[in-house]
Amino acid sequence: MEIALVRDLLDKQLVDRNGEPLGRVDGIVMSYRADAPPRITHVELGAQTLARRLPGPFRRTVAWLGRRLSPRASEPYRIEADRIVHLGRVVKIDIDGTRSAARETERWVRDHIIARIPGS
Amino acid sequence: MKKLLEITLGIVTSIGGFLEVGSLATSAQAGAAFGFQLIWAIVLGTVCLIFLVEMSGRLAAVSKQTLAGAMRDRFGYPFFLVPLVAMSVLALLVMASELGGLCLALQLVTGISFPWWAPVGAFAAWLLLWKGTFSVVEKGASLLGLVTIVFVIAAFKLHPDWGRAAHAALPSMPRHEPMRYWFIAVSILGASIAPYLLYFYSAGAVEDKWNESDVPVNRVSATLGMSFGGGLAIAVLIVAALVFVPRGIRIERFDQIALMLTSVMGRWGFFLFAAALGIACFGAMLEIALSVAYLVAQGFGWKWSEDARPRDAARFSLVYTVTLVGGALIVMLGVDPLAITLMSMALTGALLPIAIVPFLILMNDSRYVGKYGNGWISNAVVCAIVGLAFVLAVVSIPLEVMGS
Repeated sequence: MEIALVRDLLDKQLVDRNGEPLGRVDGIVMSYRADAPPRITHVELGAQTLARRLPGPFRRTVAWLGRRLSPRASEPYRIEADRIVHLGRVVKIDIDGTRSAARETERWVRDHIIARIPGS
Repeated sequence: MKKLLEITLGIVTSIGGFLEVGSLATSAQAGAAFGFQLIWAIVLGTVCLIFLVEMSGRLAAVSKQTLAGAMRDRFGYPFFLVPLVAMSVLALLVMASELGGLCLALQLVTGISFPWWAPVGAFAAWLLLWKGTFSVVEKGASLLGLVTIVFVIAAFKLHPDWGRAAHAALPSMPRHEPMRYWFIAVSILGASIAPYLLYFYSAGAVEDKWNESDVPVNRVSATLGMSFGGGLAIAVLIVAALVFVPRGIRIERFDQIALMLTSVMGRWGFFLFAAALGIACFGAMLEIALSVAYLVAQGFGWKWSEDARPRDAARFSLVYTVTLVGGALIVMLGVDPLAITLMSMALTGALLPIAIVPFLILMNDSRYVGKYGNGWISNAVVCAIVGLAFVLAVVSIPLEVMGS
């Protein structure tokens, strides 16, 4: 299948094997060796990846803000490209999202803010 | 039969969604200052809104994507930030003016002064979002919103010259105070073409799992519903023109608008006005808070659903909570509610192209809408009206700011 990386992969909705949303494809990681064609190894998610896609001054501000807000999420989260099982309206990944690091911020917001409000 | 029920519901929904504090304040100002003359602005705004709402429903039905999600998907993250930031700031201002309207309604009934109602009103709206489901929010707000029909009854009771009203549906040049005239015209356009409604509507369509077979129903309900909403705004303008112009009243404060129905319906008119204002504003607050949450959560690919428990869509719930708190803080700072309403509506006019141009590109992209793409008429009509609103806003906002 022929795909256009920016059109068909970048910024698409990511879902785990249960169809639950994981985030969006914020970045694509490729590697290449001198004697072989370039290969997509990972898709990336997270604030640091998003910050890198902004123009200069915004990039530094957002990266700084991201580090301040969640020190643990200062590294982008990567998913092996081999895990991609479907590419279409959504990109389906064969992992269980419940404990995945991609949901770390969602879990943090849930445990530290939302769950403390009655009736949540 | 089920389709008929859906269409009826669509119409009812739009009443709650359309007549809110922005339409009410701008239409009343227009009527008081220029008689029937600005009816054309409501007509143009309503026509544009019909096209846009129909499009956002069609996008959701065919692509199974929400408007916010499709924008990130199609234009990429850096570009998506532009409408995201613009629409969030705007939504916060509009939230403050809706909450201001609700506070005023409560003040009219209880006599307790207005900023104190802000935390109460925001909390009530938050509680409904926290505990309620999408259909409770949508249908409840709309059914209660039927009370705004009181403006149509008042318009009929005043026996207006319908010929003159119909004549004013065509644009005309101002006879006095040209700057004020164009500023109110763009505020009306901004109030009618509320962009947050589009995010709300498309998210609802995706959550209700629409498909291609819903396209015709969507067309009928968008047309009838939004026309009805436009009719309500015209009724407000007519009542304001017939009540305020002969008495030479210029509207400078919100509570002057409240007297609109008193001369037609007496004491009942006063309470009906308060009820209509309060309910319409409350409904709009729910829709705006959800729209911001949809926009952010769908754009970043987070879990979103008004039907899920808050802990199962934590960041989504956090965004609507923050939006309501932000709106309440602005109101409690004590900004003038009428001024913030008119300004945020005019600002909507200026920012419309940021939201609408990418949307039109999506609606002409066969990868999203397949063979259900826009025809040239809808493209041309929307471009023309949004272009007009933008030009009027860019010209009249600086002059209005300098003048006041």
